[in-house]
Amino acid sequence: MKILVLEDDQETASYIASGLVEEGYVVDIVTDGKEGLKKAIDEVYEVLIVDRMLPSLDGISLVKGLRATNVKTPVLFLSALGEIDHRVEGLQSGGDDYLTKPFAFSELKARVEALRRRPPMSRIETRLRVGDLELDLLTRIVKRGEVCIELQPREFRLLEYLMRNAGQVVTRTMLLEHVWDFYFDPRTSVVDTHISRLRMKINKGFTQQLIHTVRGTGYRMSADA
Amino acid sequence: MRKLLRTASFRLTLFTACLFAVFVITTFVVSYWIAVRYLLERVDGEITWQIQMLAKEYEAGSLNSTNPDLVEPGTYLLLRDGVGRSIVENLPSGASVRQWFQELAPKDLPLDHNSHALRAQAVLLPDGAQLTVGQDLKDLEAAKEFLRQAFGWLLAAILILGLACGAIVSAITLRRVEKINLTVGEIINGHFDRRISLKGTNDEFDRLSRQINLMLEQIEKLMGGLRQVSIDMAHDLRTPLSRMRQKLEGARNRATSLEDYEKAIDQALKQNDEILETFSALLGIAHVGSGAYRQKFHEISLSEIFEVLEETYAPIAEERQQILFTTIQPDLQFHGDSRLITQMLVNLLENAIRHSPPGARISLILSQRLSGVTAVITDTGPGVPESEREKIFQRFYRLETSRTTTGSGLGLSLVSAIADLHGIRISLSDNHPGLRVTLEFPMHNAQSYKKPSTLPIRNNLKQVR
Repeated sequence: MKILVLEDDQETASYIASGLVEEGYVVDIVTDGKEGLKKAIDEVYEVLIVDRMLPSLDGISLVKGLRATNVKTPVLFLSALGEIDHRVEGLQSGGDDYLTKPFAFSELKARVEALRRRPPMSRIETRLRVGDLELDLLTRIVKRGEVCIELQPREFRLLEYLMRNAGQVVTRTMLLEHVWDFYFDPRTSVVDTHISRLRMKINKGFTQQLIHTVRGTGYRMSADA
Repeated sequence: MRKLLRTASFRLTLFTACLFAVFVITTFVVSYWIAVRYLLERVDGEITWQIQMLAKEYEAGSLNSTNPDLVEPGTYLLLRDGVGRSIVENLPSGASVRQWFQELAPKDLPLDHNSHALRAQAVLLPDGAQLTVGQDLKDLEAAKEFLRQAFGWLLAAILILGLACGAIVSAITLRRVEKINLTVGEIINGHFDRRISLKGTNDEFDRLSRQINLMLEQIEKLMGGLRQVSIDMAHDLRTPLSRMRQKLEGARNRATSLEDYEKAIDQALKQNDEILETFSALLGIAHVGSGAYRQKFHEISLSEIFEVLEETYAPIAEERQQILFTTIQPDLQFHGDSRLITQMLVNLLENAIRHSPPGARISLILSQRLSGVTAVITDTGPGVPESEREKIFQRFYRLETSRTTTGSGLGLSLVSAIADLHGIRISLSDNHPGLRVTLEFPMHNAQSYKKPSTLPIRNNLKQVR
């Protein structure tokens, strides 16, 4: 449960660290790029949180260097540069997720958890299951118990993402980015509307709720209440 | 004076004057040479004529030392008979003259204290006597001296005239440059309304002044725009900030329970997020405006983007008891950034949905027309008055009717920035009722990017060979 935070702004670093410590993580903070790269290579971390702008070595170069030495620790970029092309640059350098400052802590937490649980690349799942709900990625058939559920392509992607991250909170922003490829905040309730339609479809004839609303943050899919 | 010396026009004039001097010197050298040659030829002609005349006299026997009249002043004569005895002589016998014209320096001629150079020729007469005739070069020397002096004066006059012209020309031009300088100085000191006065001659200075004036107007306009945006921004940010302050102050004074505090903090956070959103929207617009995205343009499917929009927004319209109609022609391509295009379309579509009442009909059309691909988004909402249609793309501009809804007033500015980046033309018109937004995608957009692809192919061919 060790996380390395590479952030040169003391206040942001301690804000992230104190929140993560509260969640039960062990957090190391490094403020210098080169030192951070060394630490990330030498020690074992579950997730790296990397600010894009660091003294002595910027975040992008740091992650490139890290990937070049075959360290596969998931990287979450933090940056004040939030434009799409900056994000793309971050992900192309070997980062796994990108979060723009300012951010809500719940957003950071959800993303760190999603990164921690990310399955290794080699294990490609073809069938996702939560409770009695089953989603087949090859045939694209969704079943709850024995009942087939008809979903539209976008709803299928939404359900797939929720099921891949079953048990953990996914934020609205995460859903917008991964399901819709929207890197901005729509002014209408895109996520909520589609979640409620999806809920209606998968709950039809069933009493057990599978998609839970996490107040103020997002949603969580799980078979338990 | 030092300033004058440093001006470009003066230096140019000085250079021209020097060049003129070089021309004059060359001309002088050539004409001097020609003149001297001409004079020498005349002297030589005289000598030849004298020799002929004296030879005749000698043959007639009338040439002897007792007949001095034969020798004109400035002419020198030496006659020796076959055995070397001199018969007539006023030329020193020591001077040996060959048969060709030859110049004798004054030092060889001790007889004449005026000591001018002498030009002489010797001939052998039929009876073996030798006749030498010399001609004084006094006149030639005088002519030479005269030419040299005349040239000196001429050169001096040309140099003085050239320099004077330079001084006058640069003083005149300097005065106009100085005037421009003065005006610019005033503008720097804050008198932004000052302009450089024109002479009306339409010369280079007038044209320069006009260009500067145009530039100043452009700058003033931009500054005005910037000032307006700053003011608008300050206004727009003051509202959520003061609301936040009220909430916090209210909580400080009146909150009694943890719940009250939490509520106040939640509200403050909401206001804070609104401010941050405004800033990121501004940054986003600025970033799109910088053109940094253009390098990452590629072929995208507009039809697919529209299909995603349909799928995403039909339920949202439905939730608001509105109907979303779509007509999407398949396989329409465009060269651009798909995420930006999506964001632009989402903004426009959400505007249509948000500003229309329940029961409204929203339509989304993508089609290929003769002029290129066209997208149309219409609603049956309140629409936008014609007088406001231009303004709604300005930053922070909001229709009075929409002041109450949330939003930064930057959405359409972003739309306009993205459209500009892609060369898309946006026009607003009346939908009777409601608003009709038409987007015309440029046709040639993709082609201009295809050219570079021929290069790698050529390289491949070379490698194959």
